[in-house]
Amino acid sequence: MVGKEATKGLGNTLVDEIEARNVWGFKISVSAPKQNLAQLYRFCFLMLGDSGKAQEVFQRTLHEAARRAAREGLPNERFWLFRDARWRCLEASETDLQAEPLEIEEQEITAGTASQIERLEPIQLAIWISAAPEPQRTALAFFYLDEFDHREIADLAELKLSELSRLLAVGRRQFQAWLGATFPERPPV
Amino acid sequence: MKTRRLSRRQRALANCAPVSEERIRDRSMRAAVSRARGSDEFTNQQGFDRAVAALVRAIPIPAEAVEWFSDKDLTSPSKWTWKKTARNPAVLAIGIALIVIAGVFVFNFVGRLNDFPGSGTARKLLTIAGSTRSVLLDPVTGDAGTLSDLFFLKHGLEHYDVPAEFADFQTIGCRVFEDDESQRIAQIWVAEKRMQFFLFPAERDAKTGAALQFSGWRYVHQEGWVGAVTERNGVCFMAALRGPEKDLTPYLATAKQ
Repeated sequence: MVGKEATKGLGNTLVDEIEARNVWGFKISVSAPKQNLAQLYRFCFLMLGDSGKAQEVFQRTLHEAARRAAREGLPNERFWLFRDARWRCLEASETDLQAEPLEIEEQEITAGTASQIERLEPIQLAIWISAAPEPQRTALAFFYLDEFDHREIADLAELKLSELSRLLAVGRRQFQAWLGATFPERPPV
Repeated sequence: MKTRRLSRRQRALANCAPVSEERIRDRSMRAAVSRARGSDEFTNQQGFDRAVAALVRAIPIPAEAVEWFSDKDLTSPSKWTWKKTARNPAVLAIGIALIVIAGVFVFNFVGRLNDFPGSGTARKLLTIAGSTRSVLLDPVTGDAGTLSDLFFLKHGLEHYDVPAEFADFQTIGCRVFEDDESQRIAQIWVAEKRMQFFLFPAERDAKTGAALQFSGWRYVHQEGWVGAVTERNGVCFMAALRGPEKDLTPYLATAKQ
């Protein structure tokens, strides 16, 4: 949990900085909505399943944001940083080896799933989500950040509510099946 | 199973039910969650979601990413510069306004540098000169220098003498009138370059009542007219003509010689 501790208080540091500079640069009208940067990194991590790649995309996103803040000002659009990071993640994934489409097993969620998930490492979850096909991958990554409501996720992932709902439900069942195969439930003592 | 009573839309919403209750921001989602709550399926879903969200929260942020938030990297791309600030419309507007104010101040200051006792009256008389028509004046033919007696005898104006340098100019007409401060002004129109002469009381000290004197000739300008003013015996004389100062200077140069 070192990382979790390390990010404490990190919050909106960058976005606040950019906004503050805009005020000095008299671009007061261009204020971006507050966006949590630690969550932005986690989003990149979930999308790419690799710390190095996530860091690269995260840094490129923020460099571009700083450049835009200095030149033309930040977009007055909600969650533009996340939207921008998503496209960078998609671009970065295009160059990777693509998994062959498989019929993934599904399994109903059980009461003991939570204990199975607790045994996982974050990287295992990230690898699983990053391997999901698009737009399911984006939907799962945004949903489990616990940062946005369903409308915002649908907007960010460019999905209808029904599509988002289906993708999340299927994703849960597939993940449950994978969990069942990887970490079989311990029989009650 | 309560979930079976959910409508299709509510089921869709329940599938998207946020992990944290505070993310439920609209009524339809609240209603869907409320109806779904209590069912095993939804309870399991929430347990699953909470566990995955906790795992996501545990994703460590690498030190390199944390360092990236430091001021050093952030301040460099959009450093405060004079150039950038100067290009800002607000700063430009303020700058222009200050330049205009400074210009007006300098203009007034330079204008006041040439001020002398009676310059205010002289300017007003230049305005009068510009609007006077010859028909307003009593026709008088003769040398301007001879009008001193006329002013004294007819109007009781003492020391209303035309200086020697302008005394030989042929007059067309003259009049005596009172200005808005009830000062008695003598106006003479001469043939030379349609020049006009004015004789008026010199400005006086408010406390002592003594005439404020100044030496030589002083120039005043007003609405395209130029006047050369001198003071003698408590009376100011002004020779005025329409045009630049250089048109009047030769007469004064002659006077000095």
